[in-house]
Amino acid sequence: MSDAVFQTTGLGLTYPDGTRALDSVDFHIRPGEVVSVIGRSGAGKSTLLRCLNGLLVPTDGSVQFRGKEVHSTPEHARRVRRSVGMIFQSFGLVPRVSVLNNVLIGRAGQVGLWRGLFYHWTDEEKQLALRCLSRVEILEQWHKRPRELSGGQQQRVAIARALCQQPAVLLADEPVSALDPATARVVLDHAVRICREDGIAMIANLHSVSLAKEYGDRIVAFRQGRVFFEGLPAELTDEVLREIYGEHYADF
Amino acid sequence: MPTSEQQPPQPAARIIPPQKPRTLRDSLWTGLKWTLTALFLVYLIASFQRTEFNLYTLISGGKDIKRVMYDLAHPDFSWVERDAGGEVVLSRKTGQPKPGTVPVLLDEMNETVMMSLVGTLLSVLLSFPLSFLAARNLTKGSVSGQIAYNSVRFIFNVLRAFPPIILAIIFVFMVGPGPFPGVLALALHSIGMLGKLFSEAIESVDLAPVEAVRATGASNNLIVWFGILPQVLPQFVAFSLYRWDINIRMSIILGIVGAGGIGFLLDQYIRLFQYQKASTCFLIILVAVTILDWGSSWLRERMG
Repeated sequence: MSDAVFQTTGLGLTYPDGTRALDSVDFHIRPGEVVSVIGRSGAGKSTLLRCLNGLLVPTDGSVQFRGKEVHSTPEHARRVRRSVGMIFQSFGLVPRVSVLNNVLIGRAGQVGLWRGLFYHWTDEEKQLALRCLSRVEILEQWHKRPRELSGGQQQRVAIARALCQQPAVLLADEPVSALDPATARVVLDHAVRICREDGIAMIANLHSVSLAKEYGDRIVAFRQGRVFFEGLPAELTDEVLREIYGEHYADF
Repeated sequence: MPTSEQQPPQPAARIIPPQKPRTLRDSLWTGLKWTLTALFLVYLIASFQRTEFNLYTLISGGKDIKRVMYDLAHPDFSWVERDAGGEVVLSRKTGQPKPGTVPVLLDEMNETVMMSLVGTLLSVLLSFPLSFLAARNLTKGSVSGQIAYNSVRFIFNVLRAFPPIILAIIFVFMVGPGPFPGVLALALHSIGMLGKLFSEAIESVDLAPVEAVRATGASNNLIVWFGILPQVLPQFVAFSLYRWDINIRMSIILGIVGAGGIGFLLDQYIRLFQYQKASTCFLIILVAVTILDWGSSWLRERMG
């Protein structure tokens, strides 16, 4: 898989408390591809995303970003993070900072220390941030504080922040678990549409199997830290789902 | 027709909770509790004896304080100094009337407030950067971080351990009497206090925004700046204002050991039995502290 954006081989991670979160995971994602990752809580989905962008250092195996080892040095992991946007279940917006500045914080990896300290953004950066806000249709809220926005609006700001990095990949860690089903679709529609338009690859950890099937080109299912299923949404049968979620799985 | 459903409900059977198991440990603990209580009571009685607590002495001493009470009830509100004959005393240098108790004390009160302002500002400027090194959540995970954490914590503890009055005595010896040693004493002690409060504020931040900023590939400095500072800044401002409030009252005491401000005159008046002037002094302190207390709580409410 030489054209893969991310490629892991034999990836494993054991937390200091002895929990084996990932075990010999072979995973890849091609440019522009949207991959849904499903699995029960604790199956390793979040850990996988954090290993990909270097927030967590794996204990075994390798993670390659565009053919280069992410974890070769901490500095290189940081360089990789600049090209990888990430959104979270709890949005992770900085409180008391305006929506526009929250989006501009997406540039934090690119600006130098002094420009960062004084929130001194160039005109191009401001234009980029405003463009990102308008693409998620939240431009008119640019001057507000995050807590004045609804959950769905906050997640759209977080998407704008990730886009402001001009990333090659967007990692979404349960991006809609804190939102109602209707808002969840609005948020995922925005994220997936923009990724498709810009050719950004996207990995989305989702709890909702129907959303995972609907938005993903490909589905990867985790069970107890291992890849249990990998294939097209149509290949994800009820038997497989019962294996993943247990006997009490009913279509959700 | 009454049916079984319509009959009044039977009273529920009395519930007798199962016996709580009583172990040897429980018995020992009960014995220990009683022993400690008895020891504490003995110590409490000994404390009254050691501190020579005696209501009779207090009441019988009341008549000796009559003169003092009379003076204290008649504060000296003079704007210019007068001699025994009631004539205005003129300054030998300028030929102008010499200022009386009120203008002199107002000027000294002003010096006290200025001392507390400079001392607080210095301590804020120094404890701000240090507090990040003393926050557990920022320093764990690396050896150099651990060293920084422990050494800065130790410095804060040492600074807090010295009461400002002791620091002021030391600095009066070092730099001579005046407001400067007072400023140094306030600043040094406040660094320890503010550093502890600031670093605890940092330790309690929401980590979600911090992780989000880290995920953008930002350097550690900018992660702190963008992810943590906006969360703790209102608390930092509130703590600093509160510290200023404390330092104003503290700097009055520092004057007594020669570290400038109104406390220095208060001490002198009491030593020279000039209780009318001392009374003016108390009133001015009371008014100033009240005004500043209102002001700082008003500000803090708006900052929170």
